[in-house]
Parts: sequence; structure tokens; C-alpha cells
Amino acid sequence: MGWISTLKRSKDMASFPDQKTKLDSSSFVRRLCFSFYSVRSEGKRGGKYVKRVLVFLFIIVLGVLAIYNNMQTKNGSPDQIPRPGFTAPHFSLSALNNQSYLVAGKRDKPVILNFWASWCGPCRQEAPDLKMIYEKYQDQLDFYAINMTANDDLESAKSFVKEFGLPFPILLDEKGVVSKQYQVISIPTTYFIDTDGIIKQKIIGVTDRGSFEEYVKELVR
Amino acid sequence: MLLRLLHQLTNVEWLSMTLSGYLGYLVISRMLKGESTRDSITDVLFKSGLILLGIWKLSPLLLQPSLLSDDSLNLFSFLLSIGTNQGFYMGLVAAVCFVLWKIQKGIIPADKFAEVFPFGLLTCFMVFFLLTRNIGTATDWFWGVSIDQSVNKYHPIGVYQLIFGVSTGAFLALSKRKGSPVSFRSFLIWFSLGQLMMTFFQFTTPFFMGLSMHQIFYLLVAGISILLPMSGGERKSQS
Repeated sequence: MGWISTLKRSKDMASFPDQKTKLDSSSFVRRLCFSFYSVRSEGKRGGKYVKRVLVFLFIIVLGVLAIYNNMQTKNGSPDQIPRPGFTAPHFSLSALNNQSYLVAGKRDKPVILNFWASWCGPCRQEAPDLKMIYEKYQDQLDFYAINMTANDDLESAKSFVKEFGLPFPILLDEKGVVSKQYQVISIPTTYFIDTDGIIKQKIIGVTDRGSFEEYVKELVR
Repeated sequence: MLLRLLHQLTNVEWLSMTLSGYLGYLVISRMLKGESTRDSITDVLFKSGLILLGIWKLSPLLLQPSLLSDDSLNLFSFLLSIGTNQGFYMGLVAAVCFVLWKIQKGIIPADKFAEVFPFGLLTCFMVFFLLTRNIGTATDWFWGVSIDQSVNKYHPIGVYQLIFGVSTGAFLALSKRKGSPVSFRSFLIWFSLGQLMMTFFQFTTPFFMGLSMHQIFYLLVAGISILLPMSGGERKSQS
């Protein structure tokens, strides 16, 4: 909008060398250059140049403050709330392989929690992608697929795991306690938790392999 | 029951985003009631919303075109999947370009659009942050709020947005009534810096050079706005 109004300003155009001829061109770069030129000349005339520089400096100061502030708040909150920026609620669940798995604060590797059920269509869509990503990053992170067993059938869950050949631990939330702790309202729901036990990302619904991998890369970085 | 359902639905960010965008659209439409330009402006806004939605949804494919040649990829999952953050900003840039193109073609008047759009944008932000019950980092200040039986208290970002939106809206309306309306460029600088300062109270995930994607976006908007030349109305009011 700004450069449209700029183009209408014949006085400024006349004072800019060869501007009249150049204006016929719809070149984006030329318009932008002219806009910069106008800002300078306008400011000098109206005493606004200094004001703009000051605002510009203020923007830079805010940018630096933002970087400093981000460094201060990166540790997240100690409260166990299933939202990004908070400590992931602690829990311990047994898995299909009869082992027990724990999520409780700081850990050696980041962890991804994926809530699913065998009757969930989108979970079926997502399963091959999760398997592929796990196989690629299993040395750098833990991946726990939490079956919502309280709302699922254990035998169906077992066949689902067999059908897709899921290699990661399948945790069984038999009483629905963990699903409630993590406020799972729709499945699949995925949480990305860093080594400090802080939730970095929460995804409600299916995500494609490319985006999922981006989140994983961010987590293991 | 209905309240609980609403509570759960608004936890889904993209649903809250769609609803708040629609309310912003309604505010703009209402402000243009009786104006000859109402249809053209609302039409362009609706289409730009669709562009944003489409690009956001297809952003994984746009950002990683190699996925198209991947035989094992299930394309059906794209219909169900959500978009990416980068895709959202790409869609936003495309939507802004679309509006600028329509202005340039003379289909919608720039001055009228610049007059009503800030109110729609402020409504959209206020509603979104209130619907999602957005909270920031922990605070000791007495107005901090607790959620889900938390030990600490947190910055009520929704309330901050409400105060910012209402005061900015009132200032814009009063300035217009006094005959010296605030220019769109000044609004953009004020708005983006306000939003940037609000991120100081929020948990952020650094994306580039220690800044989050939101912060980079607000800094860019403020920076570009300040470099843009003054509009006709702005120059007139200064002379």
C-alpha cells in the first residue's frame, strides 16, 4: 500500500534522477529502492528522519531484549501441565513387552509420546510414518506410543502393532490416568519432550512425515 | 456439557484460529455496512483467508517437494494432517500479497481497507488469545493466574491482549473522531511492537538467532513498516 502511494507522488519523483522513466517499469526492486529514497528525503524535509531512526533503534533494542528474554525463559515452568513450556506430567506405565517405562523430569534423551487407539483411522494413517521416523532417530530419542487401553481392546491393539510391525515400546494406559493427565481430547495426540522434561511441542491430530521429522530434528538439535 | 465441549474444542489451536478469524471478518463487515466497497473488501478478505488456509495445509509439500516423488508416502494423510508453522507464515505472506495486488488493481480502496482492517485484526487477536486461555511464563505479580491446580501463577496473556486490543481500538477510533486518524503504517509499527513485547511474557522456542518465529515476524513487520513511505493522508495531516 505504501509504495502505491509513493508512486503517486509526482513531486518526489521529479527530484529523483530518471525516476519518471523508471516508473513505467513494474520492477519490484526499483519500487523498493524508490521507497527507501523517499523515506530519506521525506524525513530530511519534515524532521522525521531522526524520529524514524530512533524508532528503528528501538526495534533493534527490542530484538536484543527478546533474545535475552528467550535465554532466561528456556527452562520452562516446573508445574506439571500438558502445555508447551511446562514440565511434562510424570507417569510410569507398563508396556506390551512387560517392561516399565517412566517419564519424570530430566532424562538422557528427549522423548516423544504418541497417544493412539486401534480403532482410530488417523492413527492407522500415521503408523508407517512413525515407524520410519523412529528407525531413523532411535539412537537420539525415546519414542513411547501410549495405547489408550481404557478405551480400546487389548487384542485389537496387539494386532495393530503386529500389522504395522511397530518397533517402539507400546505403553498401556489401562486406567486412562495418563490420558487424563495429558488432557487427550482427540487422537492421535503427540507430545515432544526435551531432556529437561519440558514439553516443546504438542500436536493434536495427524501430521505428515515431513513436518513430524522437522519437529523431531528441532527436538534432538 | 456444551461448555465442556466448547472448552475442549477451543484447546485445538486451529479451530480457535478459524473462529477468531471469522469474528474479525464479521467486525470488518459490520464496520463497512452501507458502504459501496463492502462487498469487494469482504470478498478479497475471504479469498485471502482461503489462500492462507490452503498454503498452510499444503505447506509440508511446498517445503519438501521431494515428498511428492516418495512412493511410500500416503497422500491421504495430507487431508487429515495439520500444517506447519513455516507454512502458516508462508500463507500469511501470500494472503498479504493477494490483498496488495487487489489494491494495486483498484478493486478495493486502500484508504477504506486501512481504516477498517486494524479493528478486524485486533478483534481476531483478542478472541484467539482469550479462547485458547493463553498463559505466559510464571510470575509473582498479583494479577498472575493459576491453571490446573498449578503451584505457580502465570501471566494472563489473554487479558493482556484484551487490554492492548481495547486500548488500541479506542485510540484509533478517538483519533479518527478528532480528525487526525492514525495511519495504517503507524498502526502496524505499534501493533507489531506491542505483540513483540507480549512475547517477553510467553514461553518461546528459538528458531533463528535466538528469536522465535513469532518474534522474527513482528520485527520484520515493524522494520518494513518503518521503511515504507508515508501515505497521502499521513503527509496531509503533517503539513
